Amino acid sequence: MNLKNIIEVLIHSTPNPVFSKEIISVLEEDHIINLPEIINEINKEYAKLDKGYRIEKIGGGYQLLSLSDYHPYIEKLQKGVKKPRFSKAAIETLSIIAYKQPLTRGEVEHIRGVDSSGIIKNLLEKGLVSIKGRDGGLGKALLYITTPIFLELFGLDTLADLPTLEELSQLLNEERNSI
Amino acid sequence: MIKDSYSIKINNFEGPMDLLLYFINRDRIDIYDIPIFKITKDYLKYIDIMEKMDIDLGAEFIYMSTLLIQIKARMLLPKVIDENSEEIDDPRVELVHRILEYKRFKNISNELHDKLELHSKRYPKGTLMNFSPAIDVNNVLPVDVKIFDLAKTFMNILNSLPENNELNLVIEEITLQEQINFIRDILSSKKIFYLTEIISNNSKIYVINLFLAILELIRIQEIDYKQTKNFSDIMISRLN
Repeated sequence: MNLKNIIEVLIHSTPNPVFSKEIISVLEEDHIINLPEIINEINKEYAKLDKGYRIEKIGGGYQLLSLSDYHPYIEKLQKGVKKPRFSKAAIETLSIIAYKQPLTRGEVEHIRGVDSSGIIKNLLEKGLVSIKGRDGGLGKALLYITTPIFLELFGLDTLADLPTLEELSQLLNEERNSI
Repeated sequence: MIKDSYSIKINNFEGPMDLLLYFINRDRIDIYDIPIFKITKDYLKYIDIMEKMDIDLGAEFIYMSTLLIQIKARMLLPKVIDENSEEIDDPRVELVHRILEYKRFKNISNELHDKLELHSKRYPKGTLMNFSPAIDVNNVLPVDVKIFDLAKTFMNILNSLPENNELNLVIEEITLQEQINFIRDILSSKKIFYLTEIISNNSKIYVINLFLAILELIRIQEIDYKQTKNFSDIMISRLN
């Protein structure tokens, strides 16, 4: 059977991202498979046929996603369904945890300058952050990290997809020079 | 209340850092050379207005005002220049670092917010509606039905039962377990049924036990339930 078709079918079979190692374990091929290249070929075919979806690398796995152009139609079809919403404070807290993880609540609060326990609790409940362990310091505070759900929700493959701090400080410097 | 003497836009500031950053952006202040006298004045004015409007500011706002006043006081003291050190001790340094750090994460969170917006327009396969092919015989579009909706529907059914004014002292023999068995019996012969099919003109105890039986079977995940809209008939199906 066509290897490319099998891989495509596997990714089509679930709404969740499928990990490379899951695909490879199913295939039972002896030789090494260049998965990213095969996915790329499939996506090229979709583009050629002008299809409304593509396979993307999300949270370390491959996921079939509709193109954003078609968003208004899907939204109309699903008018009752609520998408997760985040407050400014929640995204602020998430970004601090994403960059500085693992870190304690105290460290988050030092940067934000305000109590963040409620927000962190909420993010924990939504499964966007989790507890990694305890700090070795005084009080043995809990350490927080982001989860794969965070990556999936924000459409990131790995944490490395976030803008680097260098890129951001460059932005800051440009701003500073413009003053 | 406040008269028109102040015109300050009351933004919803996330905290003292957010407020300081607002002043810095508004007045196009160079973060590396913060006019501490002016910013302290603005800050305290804001706190004052909020207090007059009876808006409860968190302790962190008060903490920041004391920090600002402390820095201001230290700025007023004559500088002791250490011959051995080239660095001039600027009391603002720590605050500047904190504002910069905060600003950095503010930018990141804007970036993250954009990513979320963008990505929320892309949908994975078939996650919007939980079509269940085995049950989807009538092309019913299930809505998100909560147990509460189910209970409300049930109240409607209860109310629609004929009122019996006669004093009836016959002890009802129907138990919860019997009703559970009854539902299991129905589902062994057909895939789905509607609640109204099995209620008919029975007594309240009968119907209540039937409803409790349904709730129990939902709880132990033996059956599934669907409703096209609030107060409409409830469809019960087997759950494997």
